[in-house]
Amino acid sequence: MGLSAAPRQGYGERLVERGIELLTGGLARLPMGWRRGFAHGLAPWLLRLSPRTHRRTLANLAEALPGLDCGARARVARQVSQHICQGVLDGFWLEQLQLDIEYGDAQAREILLAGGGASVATLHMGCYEVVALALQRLTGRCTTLSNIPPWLSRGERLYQRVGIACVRKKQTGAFFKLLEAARGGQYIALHADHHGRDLPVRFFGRATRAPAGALLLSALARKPLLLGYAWQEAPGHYRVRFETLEATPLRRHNAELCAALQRLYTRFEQVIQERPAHWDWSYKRWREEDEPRPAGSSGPQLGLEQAGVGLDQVHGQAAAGAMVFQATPDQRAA
Amino acid sequence: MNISQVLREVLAETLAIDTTHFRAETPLLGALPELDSMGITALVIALEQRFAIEIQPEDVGARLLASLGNLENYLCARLSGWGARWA
Repeated sequence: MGLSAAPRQGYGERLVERGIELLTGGLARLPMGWRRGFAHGLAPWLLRLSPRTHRRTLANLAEALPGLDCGARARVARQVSQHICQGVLDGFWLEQLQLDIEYGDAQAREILLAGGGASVATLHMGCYEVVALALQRLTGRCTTLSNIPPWLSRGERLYQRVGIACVRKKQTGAFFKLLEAARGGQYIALHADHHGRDLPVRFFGRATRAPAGALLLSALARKPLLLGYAWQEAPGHYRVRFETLEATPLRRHNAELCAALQRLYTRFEQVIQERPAHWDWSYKRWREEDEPRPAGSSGPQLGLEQAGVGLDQVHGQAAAGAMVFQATPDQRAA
Repeated sequence: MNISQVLREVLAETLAIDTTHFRAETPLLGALPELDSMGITALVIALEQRFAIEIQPEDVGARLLASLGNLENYLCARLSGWGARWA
């Protein structure tokens, strides 16, 4: 499964791509330690150039980890920026990265080595593509979702060089392409930690909403659900850990999907608390509009309010195979 | 209530849209912004519950949701035990 043909570039876009090529091409000739030095040197400048992002990082840290004092928050924010810088750069030479892969449980290993495919939820930690890279090296069958601008033709080569199949987030029918890949036994790596409109969840004690793509694939393609995350241990060297979230596919039920998402996010919190400097805190993760929506609001009905209804429906559900058409008053009379 | 009516009702309830003017040829996927990944899943769950069927993973695809008529044909085939013919 490859990306569709890249659209024609404008002058500015060509200039940006050429600049990225020159920079990363030059950096690729340097030893990993020097590249880290460059990323760590660049990070403070980026923080200065984007004060709003820096303030948001500090505010998110204060909200989620109240135990950190002001100095500790500033230190973590600086380290986060350095890890993001280095992670983004490492994405340009994925084939050179050294990975140590570990398993949180025996089932995760079995699922990954069985070759039957799985849906793998991941976080924005370390280099964002490292979990997909680990899946590809382990199974030879990884598909991921890319948000790289379509005009950046170099973007697709990054995935192609290491054999990762890629679906563009904005392309028509992207979800069905992922579903097809999952059904075909691919291991699908999807980031699940940033903001999304799909389902409500509590994250670090606050109401928010989250993307549920990894869970939906598990339910619709009937595949296990795993967690995969990575952190940097040394320049060019990442440790990747896989854990089983659901060994059997998630049932197609509102309440189960909501509960599974909450379990995933509870685990996310633990993972982030273990290594706060490795998660991307700069993102606008909690938003005002995330307050629980009143019942009857527009959009697909799969919120927490509906989850309660879903549970009732399970208890009162007709036996499989039974017809549950609701007769009209006329039909009943007949 | 026939399958078509129930289907329109399920679509209206699940996606919070007005389906009173929907016809068999009315396109769904690509035409309804509500039918994103979450909408698709919500619809599959609602159809499975309402019609007491299990929609197989291989049936969930762009063809199934291309139009109201496609979805209706699939449900008719499944409910009459002729699911294989639809596929």
